[in-house]
Amino acid sequence: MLNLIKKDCLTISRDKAEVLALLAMPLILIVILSFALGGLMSGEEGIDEIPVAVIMKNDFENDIENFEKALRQEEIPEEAIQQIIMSSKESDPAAIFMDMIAGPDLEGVIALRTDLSKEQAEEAIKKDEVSAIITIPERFSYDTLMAIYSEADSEAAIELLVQDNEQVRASIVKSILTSFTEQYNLELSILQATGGLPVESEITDTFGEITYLAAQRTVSAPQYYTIGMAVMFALYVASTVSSNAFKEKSSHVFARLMLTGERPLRYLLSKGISATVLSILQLMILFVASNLAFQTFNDMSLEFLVGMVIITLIFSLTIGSLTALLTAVALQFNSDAVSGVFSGIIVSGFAFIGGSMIPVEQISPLLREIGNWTPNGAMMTAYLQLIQGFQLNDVLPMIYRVAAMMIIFIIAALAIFPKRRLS
Amino acid sequence: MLQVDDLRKKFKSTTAVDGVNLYLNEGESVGLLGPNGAGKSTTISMISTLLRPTGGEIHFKGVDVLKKPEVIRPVLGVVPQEIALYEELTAIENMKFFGKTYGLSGENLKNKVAEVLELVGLTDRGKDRVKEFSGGMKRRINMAVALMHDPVLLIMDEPTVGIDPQSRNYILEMVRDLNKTKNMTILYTSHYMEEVERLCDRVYIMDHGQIIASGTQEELKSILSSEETLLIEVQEKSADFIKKLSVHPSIQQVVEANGGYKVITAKGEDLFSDIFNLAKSNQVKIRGVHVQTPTLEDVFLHMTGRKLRD
Repeated sequence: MLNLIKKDCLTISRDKAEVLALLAMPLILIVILSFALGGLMSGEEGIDEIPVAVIMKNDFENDIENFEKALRQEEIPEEAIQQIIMSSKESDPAAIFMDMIAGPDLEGVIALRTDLSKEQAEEAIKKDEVSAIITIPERFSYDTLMAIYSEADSEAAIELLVQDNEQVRASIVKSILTSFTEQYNLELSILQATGGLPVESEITDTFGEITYLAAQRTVSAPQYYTIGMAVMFALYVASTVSSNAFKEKSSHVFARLMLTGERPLRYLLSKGISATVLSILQLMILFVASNLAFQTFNDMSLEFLVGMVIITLIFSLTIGSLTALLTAVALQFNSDAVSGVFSGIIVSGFAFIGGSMIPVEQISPLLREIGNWTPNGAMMTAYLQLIQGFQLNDVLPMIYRVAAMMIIFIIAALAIFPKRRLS
Repeated sequence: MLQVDDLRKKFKSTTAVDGVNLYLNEGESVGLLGPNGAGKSTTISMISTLLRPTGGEIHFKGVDVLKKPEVIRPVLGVVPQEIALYEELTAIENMKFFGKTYGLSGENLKNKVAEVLELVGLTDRGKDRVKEFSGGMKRRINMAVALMHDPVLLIMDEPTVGIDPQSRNYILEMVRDLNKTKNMTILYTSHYMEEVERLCDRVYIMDHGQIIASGTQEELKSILSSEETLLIEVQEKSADFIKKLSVHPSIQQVVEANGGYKVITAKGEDLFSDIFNLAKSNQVKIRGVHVQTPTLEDVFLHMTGRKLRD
């Protein structure tokens, strides 16, 4: 068996065209795509600080005065009024919002401008100097406090004007605002249910949710394309090894091998193992080369490395099983056409929907979902999740999915392969 | 040693081998002679257990090899017509690879590689890749691989096709040497009559999937004992002349040959004056008439009316 595997590795490594196709080509593409299409990525360097203007129309002193009058009209006992007013002065909702948006959690994300009037801000958004205008309207504090403490219907709203709804920046600002509103409403519900008072520090803590967007590491272009090209070109290992198997048959080397007493199933197994070994070597070389050139993998924690090894091993075994299937088809039907179609059409298709060329989720989430049902697409997702800082447990569904594909390929290969002598 | 009875192979509507019977005794060198497409390669593929016959039996030392291929495979060396080697690997790597599949290892393997390389005359080229070899050298390594496990029966399928005379001569000498000095049993297929005449003790002549004649060379040539072969050399060939020759009552076969015509007649017929007269009437200038000793080619011509390389 070792003899057969060594022979496969030797014959492929001696073929300059194959080495070029399996190693040099993906390396070149990683470099080109990383530089050429890096702008498409939402990587760390992709988004600068978002300039946001805040127009403050709210007058807290005036609002608290009006709020006190309103409470008296509702015939609330004087002692309770004094307690509510005292608490309300310490938890101005407009101030809480301003603390959040100008706070350290959003430092580097939002570049806040509070020096502009409404007209100046509108002019600035037209000139692309700011991406969004947040307006805290008049009576905002009053309406908010009335919503909390009064039976009367009241609704407070922060107004948002964005430059272009489709922009990533606009969606980030909207997310921040939505997150604040949801969190604040949640706090209010708890407050009303418990009869307690809002505490500023608690609310600020919950703004940790806003940092959710930044909690996972972003994927840089070299990282994306290293994984994309690696999983794509690993598929070519399957067509290369199976194509060599067909050459062995057509040049009568396979017949010669069978005459030595070699068992056909051992031969098929050797093709699968050879492809697995070659795939592991190919992926390792690509990852190491990319790391040397781009410092692609900066997380070198044990968990990350173990995750990378597991994904690489499962993916390479799947490439091996796919090779066995292609070999079985080529030998059974005495044709190299399937390997040709696989390398010529199927790999390109899988590479596209798997996301090797561009992040397909930017085109359609459905396409991403379909891509995750290809071995390369699923493994690409797994690798990228690991790079983003996901735990290995989070990646397991993709690994199980590809392992299931591997079993299907093996069963199909065994069913198709001509087990007896050739005729 | 090897007994083949009523061997048949059909591919859809084509019958490639049709009731072949042959045998090989230990230490014999037997030729399977026939034109391209006669069914020689199909026959030896079935004997090698690589192709399942449609019918018939093959016994090796009394054991049915169709049921037990493992009996013949370890002692069988097959030199295919194609170069069945890994061209990206060196000669030594190829030999080691196949040697290992036969179970050789360590010093045994190393010594065997050196011995066989010397036998095929390529000791100094062992570390070169096969793809860098000439056609003749590739054929020699093709043969070397089949000799790695010291087979007792060597089956060779047209091993000299498309190579230079020097390599061809080397291979023929080597085969003869293996047969005479190592007592290796050889089944040699070819459509080159000269090779079979030079190497083989007995010959089977095959055409259209059937054995049409068999025996020692003398026995086969004795088929022509009542006949004579004349080679008529002419200055310029003429269609009318060959037509006239072919309808002459004393002439059995006429075919075009290099520089003239080959004519088979009954022995003792005096045809010279008739030939000259026919040539004159057809304005053909005769340069010479030779009486030839019969060859296997003549036997094939006699049996089929065609030349081996038609």
